[in-house]
Amino acid sequence: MGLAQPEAFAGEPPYIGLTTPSRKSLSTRRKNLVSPVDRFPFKVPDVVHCPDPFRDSLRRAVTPTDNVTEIITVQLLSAERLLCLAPCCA
Amino acid sequence: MLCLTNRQWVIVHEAGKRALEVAQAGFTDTLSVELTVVLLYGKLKIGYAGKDRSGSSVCYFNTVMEGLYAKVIEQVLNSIDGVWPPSEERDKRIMQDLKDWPLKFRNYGWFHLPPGSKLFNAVNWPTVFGRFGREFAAAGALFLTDRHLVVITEERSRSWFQKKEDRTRYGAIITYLPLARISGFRIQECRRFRILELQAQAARGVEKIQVLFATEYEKEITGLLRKALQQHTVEKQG
Repeated sequence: MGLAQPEAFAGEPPYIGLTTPSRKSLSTRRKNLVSPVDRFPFKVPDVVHCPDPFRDSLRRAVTPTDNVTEIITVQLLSAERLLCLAPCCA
Repeated sequence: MLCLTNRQWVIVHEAGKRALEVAQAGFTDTLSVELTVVLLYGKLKIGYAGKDRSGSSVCYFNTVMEGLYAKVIEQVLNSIDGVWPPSEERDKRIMQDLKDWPLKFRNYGWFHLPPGSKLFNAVNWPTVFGRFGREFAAAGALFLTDRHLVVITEERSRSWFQKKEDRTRYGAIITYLPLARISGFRIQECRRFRILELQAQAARGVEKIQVLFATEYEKEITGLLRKALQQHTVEKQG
């Protein structure tokens, strides 16, 4: 059975899963930054249970004295530099 | 992966094929936390100033799991201030004192101000529009609590011309600045709006955060920020 289609979107392919009703004025549409609806972030109990490519890097970053309180896997990540950062004069 | 420990946060992410990049900083070097929520789009940005490098790290996520990230933010803010055990109680004054505010910003305040902090003062301003509906400054609010300065603004439109029906905003950008990190502020004058420049400082670096707001609210915002700096100075001396 097909999904019910609101009148405003008649003629467009039906949505499957979670949708955003308004698709205007969202900069998120320009890039593929939103994680897919079927791949949510999830918690991992400890470093040993982390997915494969990340486990070793995380092991190196976390020292034995660190008490790990939270690990979350994220589907899409990127790092950027702040433009306005200036070194502090000590 | 986003990992929190008792003394630092670590973000490990893919940087091209088979390459991983690690960003990490201790809570003493963490300057600010920014959360963006627009419908299903979520972004967490942590600003830091370290020994070897300064910058910010970003995680993108689906807002269906926003609760996980809200907890991470609380934990980072509590660790910066050294508050342990953290309180879970929200300040009911947010709903009582801000009853004349637009419902949207009152609700944002209730949901996004860190639990355990007490609201001292808050200012809310509307969107500043120019000719042909061009948006100069997004609507927003500034909250001063006993431990943080929280800036909540709507997602700013980048288009030059806007119809009235396109003016609805579905999201917010929430910036958390611990009072212990704020070292100063200044307000720049523009013809139709003002730019608030907040300076966050840790031992090894400085970050500047800009907030655009309506000209009529300059006095209120200046008063709130003076109060924030005074409060921080009193806490430092105490």
